[in-house]
Amino acid sequence: MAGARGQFNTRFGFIMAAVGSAVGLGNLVRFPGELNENGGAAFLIVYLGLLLLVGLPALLGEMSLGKISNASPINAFRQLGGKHGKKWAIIGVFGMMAAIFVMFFYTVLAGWALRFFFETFRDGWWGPGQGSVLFGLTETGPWTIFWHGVVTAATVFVVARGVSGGIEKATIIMMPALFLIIGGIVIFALFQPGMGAGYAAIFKPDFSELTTQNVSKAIGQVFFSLSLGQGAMLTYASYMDKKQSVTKDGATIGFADTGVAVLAGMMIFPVLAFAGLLNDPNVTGPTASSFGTAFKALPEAFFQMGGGAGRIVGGVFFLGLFVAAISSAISLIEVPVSVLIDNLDLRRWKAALIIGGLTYSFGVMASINGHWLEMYDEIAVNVFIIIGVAITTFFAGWFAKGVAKELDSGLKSRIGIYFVWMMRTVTPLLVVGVFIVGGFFGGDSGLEFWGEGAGFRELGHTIKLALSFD
Amino acid sequence: MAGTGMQKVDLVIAGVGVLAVLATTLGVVFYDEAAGQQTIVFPETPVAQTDSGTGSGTINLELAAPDNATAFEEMFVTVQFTGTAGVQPSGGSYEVRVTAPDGSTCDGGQAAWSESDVTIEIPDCRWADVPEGRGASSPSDVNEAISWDDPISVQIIITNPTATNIPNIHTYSYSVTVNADVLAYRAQVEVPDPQAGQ
Repeated sequence: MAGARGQFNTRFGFIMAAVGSAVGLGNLVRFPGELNENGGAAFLIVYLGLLLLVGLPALLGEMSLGKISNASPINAFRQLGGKHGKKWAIIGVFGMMAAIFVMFFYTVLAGWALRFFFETFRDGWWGPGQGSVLFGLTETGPWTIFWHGVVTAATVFVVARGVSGGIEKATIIMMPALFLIIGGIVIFALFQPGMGAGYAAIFKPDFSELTTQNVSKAIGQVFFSLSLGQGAMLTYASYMDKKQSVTKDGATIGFADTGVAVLAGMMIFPVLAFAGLLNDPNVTGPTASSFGTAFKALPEAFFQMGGGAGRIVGGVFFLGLFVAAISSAISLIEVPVSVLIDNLDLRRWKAALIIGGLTYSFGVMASINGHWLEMYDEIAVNVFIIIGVAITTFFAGWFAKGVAKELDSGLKSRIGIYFVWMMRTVTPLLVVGVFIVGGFFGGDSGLEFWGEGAGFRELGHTIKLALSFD
Repeated sequence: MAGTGMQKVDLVIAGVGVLAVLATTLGVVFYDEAAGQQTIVFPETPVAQTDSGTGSGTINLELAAPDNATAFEEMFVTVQFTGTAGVQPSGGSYEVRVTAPDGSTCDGGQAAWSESDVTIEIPDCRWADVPEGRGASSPSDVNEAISWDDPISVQIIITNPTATNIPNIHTYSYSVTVNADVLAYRAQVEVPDPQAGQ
């Protein structure tokens, strides 16, 4: 079965693919922005703590399920759920649905980055304020459909070529290239005037910013940055070599993901500082956003660097953004593809064509109207991911057989039980706690911020309205 | 896999292909750029500025365009200008003009200098699709040279009378109130950061 499903040829290939899944737009743009807005190093310390308490246990739980079962998400739960396997399989469906809804818009976002990469080298869009105008034209429209189509086709091509022949080959090129890009710009930024202000913006600790709101933002960032609850890590782990250690590889993935995010801050903020854009409303304040930083403020900063250098750095940055996005998109599409292969015995290329076609078609709607993008995101997060992460972790801790043993394999010390207990208690409780408290006690309760960062309030309000709580 | 099964899969692939073509066609043909934008009426209460003075020349009152305004759908500006000349000679005039950020103007008309206590109103100074190429119907033709953070300028131009031998000729006073009663514009909908952004 393993041969038919495919397998990563090397540990390096697996880690690059998994890091490629985890590292995306959130790492490169959102995380640095959160460091800047929410207390700098103080936020980073909290984030690292939550990575150990919530992120790593959930990640290792998902990976263990994949490696032990050697199956795609639905089959993994069915197989490991024992006599209630059919009921547990619904959690696999949740993961797959989360991946599907995210990929409906993720290829669109990757298309934005790809378009900006090409436009950087065209004279028409190289000028003051042009990034904002171009972004206005890039968010939606026929050209957005085109670039979304290009990205989807490339993603399908990679996935159709198989685990080792497509995903591994692509990611062992793309991810080192991304690291080089980030490293190169970090070094370049080091020599820019005003870089100290840039570092201060993301590293200067401000413990007064550690509000419940910001802690919940950190939890949300941990979930989404590690691709949790979307079946991607479970699916990739099902292609691991049996000799590999889930714990070692999971820790490598988790810390590499965080490392890239921190480096991204060291790449972006000195550049913004150089251009005097640290206080730009696209970067900081109530209207700040990842997209505003990436597609409005940074193009302006690159332009202000002047001619050749600015263009090269800008182009390379958007190439890196595209690589980060498409490597995540590949992992998302692989989830339903693997389900089709496992359950319908389909040829991989046919499964990839079906999923790719659906991704493209639904992505077209997000390409012509941003409200669709928002809706896909909310459905993925509020319906599938949160519940999926909580129950998957709970399942891995309490019901799945052999998780502790799997986590200990390849290690000298026995730390698997630590993670299992985290999966049984702290991790799902934190996830559910954030969900419930944020959802039901939001608004004017004084706990309104709890959970806002992870985006659970909307669903909570919806439920409250349905139950006439309001 | 039986042959029948294979045919079903192929049919599904063909169906997905048709769906993709259909989605593309509908997306391109029926793409409504305004659907991705929202109309916001700014502000809830009318913008009003008042100024007054004496002297010759022009006065500029500025109404700041709201942030993120990408295209104006409609703009209604009312200007009430009251001027009083020290004497009532002939030949000069008051003139009121509203200038959009792109430089296009809306003339409110003139009143003769010979009249005192003049009121000039521009009851419906309206741009339905200002500036050219920047209206809600064609954002793809955005003139990137125009910053819509630029103010809307109301210009009061006072032309001196031709007869200059009358004493006190340059003495006049005025007050002007500019009301942008309903300043409706289309602002780009900022797609929020996806939470599931990896």
